[in-house]
Amino acid sequence: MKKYIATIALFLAGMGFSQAQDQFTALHYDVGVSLGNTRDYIERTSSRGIGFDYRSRDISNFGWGFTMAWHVFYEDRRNETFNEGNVSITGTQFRYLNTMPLHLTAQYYFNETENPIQPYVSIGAGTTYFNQRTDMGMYSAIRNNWQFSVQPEVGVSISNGSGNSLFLAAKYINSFKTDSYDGQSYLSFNIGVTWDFIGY
Amino acid sequence: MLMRTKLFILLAGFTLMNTSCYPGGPEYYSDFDLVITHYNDTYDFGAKNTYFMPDQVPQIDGDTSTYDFVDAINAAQMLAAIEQNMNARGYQRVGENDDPDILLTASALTVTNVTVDCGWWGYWGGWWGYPGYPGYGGCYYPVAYSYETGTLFITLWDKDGLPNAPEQVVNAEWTVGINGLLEGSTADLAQRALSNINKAFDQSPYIQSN
Repeated sequence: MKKYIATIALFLAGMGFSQAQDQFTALHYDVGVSLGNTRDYIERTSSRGIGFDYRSRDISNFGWGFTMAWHVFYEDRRNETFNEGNVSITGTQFRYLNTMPLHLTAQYYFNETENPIQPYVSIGAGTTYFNQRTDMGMYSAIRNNWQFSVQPEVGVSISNGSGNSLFLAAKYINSFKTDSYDGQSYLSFNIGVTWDFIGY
Repeated sequence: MLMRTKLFILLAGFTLMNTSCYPGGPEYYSDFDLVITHYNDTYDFGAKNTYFMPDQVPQIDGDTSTYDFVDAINAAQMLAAIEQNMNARGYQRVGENDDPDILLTASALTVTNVTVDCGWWGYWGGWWGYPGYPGYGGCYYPVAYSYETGTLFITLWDKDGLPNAPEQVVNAEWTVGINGLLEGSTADLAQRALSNINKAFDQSPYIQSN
């Protein structure tokens, strides 16, 4: 019986703990800047991106959450010649790279919870899906890959005092090489709005 | 509706409108053109001076009992473009009986592609419980469309490497494949063919007589 009481007490304490937490979701518009192998494939900055973050924070300076996003890189290379051994091909390549990072994250906030300005650093780990498609002539080469990835991040949220905040973040997304696909990396700059859970 | 809900919908709508899997893509028929070249890197192109090239461009259609040819005007333009490039690389066009060093031929292949697509309304019909007409693979309103693709081949053989019998297979020293959509006006098609012949030579600097 004592075990059950202790379990219930812990559960209630947990509820109380979670009620004391600040929780918010953020929806943001993302701009992507390719780096490394990603840049070798597409140099052009991506202006097509959307992301979603969930964050939970207790009264301390630490928090956790998860993030997901969809980033679209695109570039055409017109009338370029590609050489491979004794073969040369000239044509227009249309290159597409769709990425979907999914990461669990942990944050450290520099200010107390009451402060409307919340700068933070974060680290995330998880997986990223890559859909790479190259169209040339009437032919397409498509590669789909999941890779383990990490996501260091810095950012700040600025509250308007009524449950919403301006959300600004810079994320470095780095995935690790697999047998079939080179590691990818790019920067993602986010601007968006947060919605607090408390208050609904 | 709460202001924050409106804000959420507005931001979500904006970002989703801005994002799509495959933004951009081909706009012109020429965007589909490909020029592919392959050469034998042990062949001494510089040691050759003369070449023979037939005056016609055969149309490859799988029927070897008869021969069709690309119409004379288009063929003449294509052969003139090839000759102009060969002359610029120091080669001289000669007759069949003038003991040419190399043989250069051009041929064309046309393929008609037919595709059947369901279209989104086909799937919609399926959602509402209509299985679709038998034989159409579940499509309720199948849409068929066709397009023609063409390939111009240019092939260079050494005179000593020509086959002695029809069944003998020999390797060409230089092969060009110019592939694209056979769509657009006749003038546009001709212009694309000539431009792509020039590209084939541009990406083959080893075609040069000493």
